[in-house]
Amino acid sequence: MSEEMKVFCTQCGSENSAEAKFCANCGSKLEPHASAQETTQPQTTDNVYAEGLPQEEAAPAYEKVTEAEEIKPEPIPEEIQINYDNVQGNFSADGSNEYTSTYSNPSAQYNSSVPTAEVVNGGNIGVAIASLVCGILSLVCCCLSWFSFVLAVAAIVLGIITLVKKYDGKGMAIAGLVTAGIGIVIFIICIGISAAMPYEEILDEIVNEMY
Amino acid sequence: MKCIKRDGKYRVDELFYLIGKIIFIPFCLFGFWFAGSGFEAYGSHITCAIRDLCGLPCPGCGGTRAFYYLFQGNIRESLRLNATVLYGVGAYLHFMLVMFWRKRFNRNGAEREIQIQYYLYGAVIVILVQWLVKIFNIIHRLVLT
Repeated sequence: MSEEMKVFCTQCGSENSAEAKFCANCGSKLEPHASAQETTQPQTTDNVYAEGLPQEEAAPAYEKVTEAEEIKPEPIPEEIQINYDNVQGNFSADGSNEYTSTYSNPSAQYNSSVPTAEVVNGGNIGVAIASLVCGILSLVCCCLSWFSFVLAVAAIVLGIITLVKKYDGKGMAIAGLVTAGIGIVIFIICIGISAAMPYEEILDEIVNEMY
Repeated sequence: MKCIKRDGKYRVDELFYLIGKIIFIPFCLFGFWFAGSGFEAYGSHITCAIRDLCGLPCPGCGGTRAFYYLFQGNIRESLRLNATVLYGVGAYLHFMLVMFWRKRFNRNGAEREIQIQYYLYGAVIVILVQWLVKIFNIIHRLVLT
């Protein structure tokens, strides 16, 4: 055999004629266009058992399913968007932060009934408490008429501030307004009317006897 | 003050507890002094302007005497004159005891903030109820007379 007619088997390395399709030694299929210089030693890394079988075309890295356009994900609703500017997180050494527990709680994260505006305007519950305290004192200190009136006005002002600014303690602000209103009504009644003469002595007698 | 500020926000119950600790001793000293000689020297001259004008008591009427009888030990008379004083002192002592207990013996409970507004709501209710009871009794006696 001439050298240009020789084909070396890729499995056992035996020499075969160029016209042969199968190796005379091991029976593996010979590559049709393999030359003597290229095929010198069998490559042990090749899959021996795959020889002779029709080789499938290499599948692409991705599988194209349809020709349709890529579907973009839906935008995140505003209710569950997190305002990272106001977030103050304490990051621990292992990289986790205190908000992992919050994120794992879906009710805390996806509570769409609480608008972000209330979170920004909240706080300052002391104003509502001060309003209620002033309202109570205006009731208790009715004996000191003008002092009671000043306390009632202060309670009304603080209550209105709480409601307008949307601070915490809305109920206390309303209670402060109510008590202050009662204090002012008592003050106005006492200033507006005078004790009726026919009943004054009887009233004094009853009140002194009871209290 | 670190004790009244947690997570960047002031806790109202801590603030009231601090105020309560500050005024506890002066409050007790004043009470015993007032029950001893203070009421006879200064308290008995206080009169209600509203009662002087229209003859009917105001919501705070009887408060001074109620305070006097409370530190005298006469709880029943104090309750009859003005229940608000007894409620106020009771609420103050209750709040202070609860805060002290939580801080000293129940560390987990100290994390929960005591809602001060419920004490205030109770005060409003007590004031209005005792005032309405007084008004009703006076009017009832007036009608019968």
